[in-house]
Amino acid sequence: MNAPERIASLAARAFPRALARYSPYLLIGEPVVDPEGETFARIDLASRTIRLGARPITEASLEDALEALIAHEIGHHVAFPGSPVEHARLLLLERTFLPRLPRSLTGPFYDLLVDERLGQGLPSIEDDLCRVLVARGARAPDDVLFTFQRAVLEELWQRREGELLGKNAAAFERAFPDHRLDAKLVAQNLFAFAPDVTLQFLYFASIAWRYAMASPAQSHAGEGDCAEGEPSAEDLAAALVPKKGEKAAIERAIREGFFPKDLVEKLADQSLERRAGAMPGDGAGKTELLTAAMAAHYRREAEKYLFRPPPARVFADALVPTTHLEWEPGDPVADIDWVATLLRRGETLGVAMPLLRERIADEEGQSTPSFLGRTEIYLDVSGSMPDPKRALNAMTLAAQILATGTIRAGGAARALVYSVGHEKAWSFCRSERVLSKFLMRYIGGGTQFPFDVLAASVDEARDEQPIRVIITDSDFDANYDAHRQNASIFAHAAERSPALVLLLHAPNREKARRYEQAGARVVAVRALGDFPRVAAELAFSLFDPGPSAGAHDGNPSPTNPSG
Amino acid sequence: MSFLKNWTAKAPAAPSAQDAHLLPESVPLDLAPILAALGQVLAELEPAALDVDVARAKLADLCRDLAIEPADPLELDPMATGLDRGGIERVALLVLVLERRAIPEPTLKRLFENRARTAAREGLFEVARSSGLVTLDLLRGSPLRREELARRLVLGLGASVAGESLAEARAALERLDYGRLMAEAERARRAAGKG
Repeated sequence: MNAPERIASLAARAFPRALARYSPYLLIGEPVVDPEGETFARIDLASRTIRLGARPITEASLEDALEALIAHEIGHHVAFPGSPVEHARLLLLERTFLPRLPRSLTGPFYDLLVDERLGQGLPSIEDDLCRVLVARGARAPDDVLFTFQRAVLEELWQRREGELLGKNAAAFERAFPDHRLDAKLVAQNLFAFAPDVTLQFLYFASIAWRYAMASPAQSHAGEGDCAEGEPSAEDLAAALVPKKGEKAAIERAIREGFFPKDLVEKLADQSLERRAGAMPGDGAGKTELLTAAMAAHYRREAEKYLFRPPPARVFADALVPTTHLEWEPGDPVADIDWVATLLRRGETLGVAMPLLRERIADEEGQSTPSFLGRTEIYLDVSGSMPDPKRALNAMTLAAQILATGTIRAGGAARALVYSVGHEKAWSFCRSERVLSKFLMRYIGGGTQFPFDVLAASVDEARDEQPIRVIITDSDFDANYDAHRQNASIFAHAAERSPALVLLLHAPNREKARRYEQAGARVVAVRALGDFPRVAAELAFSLFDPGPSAGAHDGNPSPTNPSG
Repeated sequence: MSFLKNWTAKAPAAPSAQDAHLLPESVPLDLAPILAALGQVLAELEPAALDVDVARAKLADLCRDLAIEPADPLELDPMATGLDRGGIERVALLVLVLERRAIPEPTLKRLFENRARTAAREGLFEVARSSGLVTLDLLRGSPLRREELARRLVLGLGASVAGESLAEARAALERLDYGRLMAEAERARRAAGKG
């Protein structure tokens, strides 16, 4: 039996024991043995896969410590950090106020919390955990932060001083004479702040960040940590706005004097701008991630305005049985076709994997409403508004809500962002994600509405004119007056469109009246913060088909928008 | 109420000049049951109900259960003088731990027989007084604080920790001393501020 096979066999016996330290009902697969893996053990938080490095385990003679290795990785999945979103929260928090660290504090922090919990379990695996730590330390002698982490565990478990530091002990003592005091403070105070993980992290950071500064830079994010997996844009978007508990932890950390004054000022500022600026990554990669994350954040914000219980719809009775599908948890149990399930799959497999019989209405066209609404959005991204990738731009959010509202109602949308020039995503699109990402674009110059594009759009659309919405401020008045033909282009568009709507910030009454006289609808937005709410109301009024949706020919008949 | 003098009652003993001396290594105590009892008591107790008079009464009951003459209450009064609320809570906590028989009865009897006053003073009141930073909240949240208090109790009662020499037990307690740690941290903080 070669090393990977031997490790796999031992891991198969150790895994249930490691799992039992948490819960036998945890949904996590058995560890995968990686013959070429460079680390003892790692877990991918997104896929929940534990990988064991056969070669390093064999070289360090840790075959009999597999339960400790696996239990430690499971701990990262269960609680610390538990999910990529929670990891993203601490990562963003760290980057908002601490100097740029060569090594993130999150990995060692999670390790401490996991090991502290495992150290209390029975039968004790403390000795095995210590062996793993010593072996890891031997492979990373320059990792100052990891050395400090081991010193903390020496104090926590009251091991002989230097037992876990190994050969590094004397050199570390010379380089950091106060490390023993710091380790005692962390060991004796960190766990008293449980279960407030944010507060625990802030306390740990207040002492350990100096050791992180002295650590070598990571060649890639997460190097040296056993919980791997970069937060995705969606994870970062979910972590952008601090929760109430996080804010309370930050206030307590400031009140109890965890940090010096210069860091406190930065810590206290957890605005969207600061947290967006704290996104991980460098260069083009960071820009791409920032755009995607902010787009996801805007979609989440748009959700808040768009959610509404759907109106009751009347469908024809679905009586005609059609095809069989796999029944999944969440589907109605009454839809299971037990006869077909038992005939095709038998008693044993059938109860585990039942079949569902799909049914449709007898008369076509009455089971689902059809809707072919289309929206064309013109969004002002001139310098009067902030870059939506750096801060919340109310007009961008309004555009996101309109686009999402259209798509959710079964329609399609296209968008154009303009300042002195313009950029457009001009194919009608049903993807919220694609449009959302496009609407994050920012030009930031003067304001010049593209009347030529508007004219071309009206000509191109012919009999399938979309609803057109222009989101802008009073700079539009100057654009309208710039050339004589602009007024006629505007009036022609208003005449041809099912609705031409101006969402206008603080409009001049006389100017607004002339737009209305030209056939457009002007929705006055008094404060910038009202844009999202107004856009949501507009989206509902334009695209919410209501209970009689099935009776229409598919084109929406817009009602008067509120404003 | 009897108007007759109770001829069978023993006359109260005159205060002994000096309590019996005990060799600590002769009374090794296992920390685990003391820590377990400490954890249980912390989980169950109601801090507002802790009272030094109740604690003294429980201590006296404990001694009677062990067929030992309890310390004279008049001798215990000066020990309780100056104890703040935190100190009273710690005294009551330690008495409750003893009440749970975290220390086996034969051993407890050895610790208190002919030296009840010394055991009470050094094992309970002095321990409570000297661990001023160790609050009930801290004890609940930190296994290290509980171990510190347990070791103080053991050494204060005049015993030693099973499996350790007296010097090792004292060194372990010094390593855990929270007051000492906080003082060192304060000195380091001031030095960093000046540097």
